[in-house]
Amino acid sequence: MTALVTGREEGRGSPAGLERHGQPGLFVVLEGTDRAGRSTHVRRLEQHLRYRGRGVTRTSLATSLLTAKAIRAAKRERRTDPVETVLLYAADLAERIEQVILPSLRAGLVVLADRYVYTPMARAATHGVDPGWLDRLFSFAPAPDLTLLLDVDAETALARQGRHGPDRYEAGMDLGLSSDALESFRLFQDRLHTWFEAQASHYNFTRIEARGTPDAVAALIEPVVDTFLAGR
Amino acid sequence: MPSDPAHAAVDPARRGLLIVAEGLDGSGKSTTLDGLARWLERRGRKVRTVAWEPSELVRRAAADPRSRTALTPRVAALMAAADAQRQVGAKVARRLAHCDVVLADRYAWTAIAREVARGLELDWSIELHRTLPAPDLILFHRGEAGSAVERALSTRPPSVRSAAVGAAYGAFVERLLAAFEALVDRGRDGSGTPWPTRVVALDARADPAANATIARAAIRSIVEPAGPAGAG
Repeated sequence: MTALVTGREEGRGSPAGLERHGQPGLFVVLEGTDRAGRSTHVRRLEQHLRYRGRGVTRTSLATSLLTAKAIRAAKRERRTDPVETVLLYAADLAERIEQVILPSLRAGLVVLADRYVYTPMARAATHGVDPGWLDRLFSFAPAPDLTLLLDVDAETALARQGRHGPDRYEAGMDLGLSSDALESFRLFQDRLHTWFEAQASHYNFTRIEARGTPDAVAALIEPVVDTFLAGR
Repeated sequence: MPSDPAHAAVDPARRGLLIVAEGLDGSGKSTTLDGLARWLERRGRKVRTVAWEPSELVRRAAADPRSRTALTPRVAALMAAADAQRQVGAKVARRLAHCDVVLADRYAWTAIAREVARGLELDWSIELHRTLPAPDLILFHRGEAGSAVERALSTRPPSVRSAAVGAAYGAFVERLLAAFEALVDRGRDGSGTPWPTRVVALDARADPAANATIARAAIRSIVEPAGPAGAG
């Protein structure tokens, strides 16, 4: 009989989930709720590291060749099955791990990820998807070396809304928390914030107080990353 | 679903039922299901047949030469699982809610066997499909690799019916068979298929009438559970 890879002997599926990537590069993830400033600080951190002579690759959610379009279509069509949504995000992530993240780590680069498995997990879990199943689903993803959780409360996130306000997805409108988009956004982001707080020690997040100005937050992030790099 | 207490509380002779036929090409799945459909309709049940359709997302990606490098087994499995959640899972759940009998010509086992044959871990692949509605009964049609290869190649153009293609496909079918047998073993020891569903193995070489008798008896044991002594 043909031998099967069961996955059991590899220790997959453990609660904290992810295994080390074992490559010479460094994998840094910025996570947090919407309007926490992730994209801004990924860009700033990229520049900071480049000026210190580090080669950097940047990647963010829903940018894969094969699945990004399907994710946009699901949002446009207001499809709300949280399992379908998280599977699409997992496909997006799997492609970026195989095509971008692992090759960059093998080449010794610093990979900066604007969100990773944690945002899709948080969104799915707050929509009632079994957290144990989510851990097992994402067990293919390598563990980051450093995960910075940009911590802003829901009130701060709400205050950072632009003129156009949140989209339905960011506001979690499908959950029926409120018919008012801003109130729904506040309530949904609060749920996400609670999830991130509850999982901080489980997934080894390094919390960054991110309510300040971009300069103030960057001044907190950069020393953490520099110290981490110096220790390797 | 068997694991759903509310579902189980409904009269088993009237509630929705999901009966799944699995196995290699040409193993008699359609013959079994056609016979069961007629038999169930004669018993007054509304019967719907669903097929495990190939994923549209994967089909489109495979047709695009730029996408082929990114379409790895894991990415394809996740894309197909997202599609199945919407196209099969949601459809089956709706029919079960209407108390129909759903006969599925292939279901998650086919996807799992193909994913494992392409090198993915059995445990992970099982988890991937756990969120689909749980079948009440899986009828595994145990066939031989040789006849499945013959049947598959007979539908291909003559240009691809070479000995090399046959040998490569034969090796793939052997891996499919090994994965199906691993699932049957798990069904037997209760370790999850991924659901705690009863599995009945039918011999693809046996008289279809004999297989139909076995399949009907298995369904009767679900819809007419043994009552108190003397009841039946």
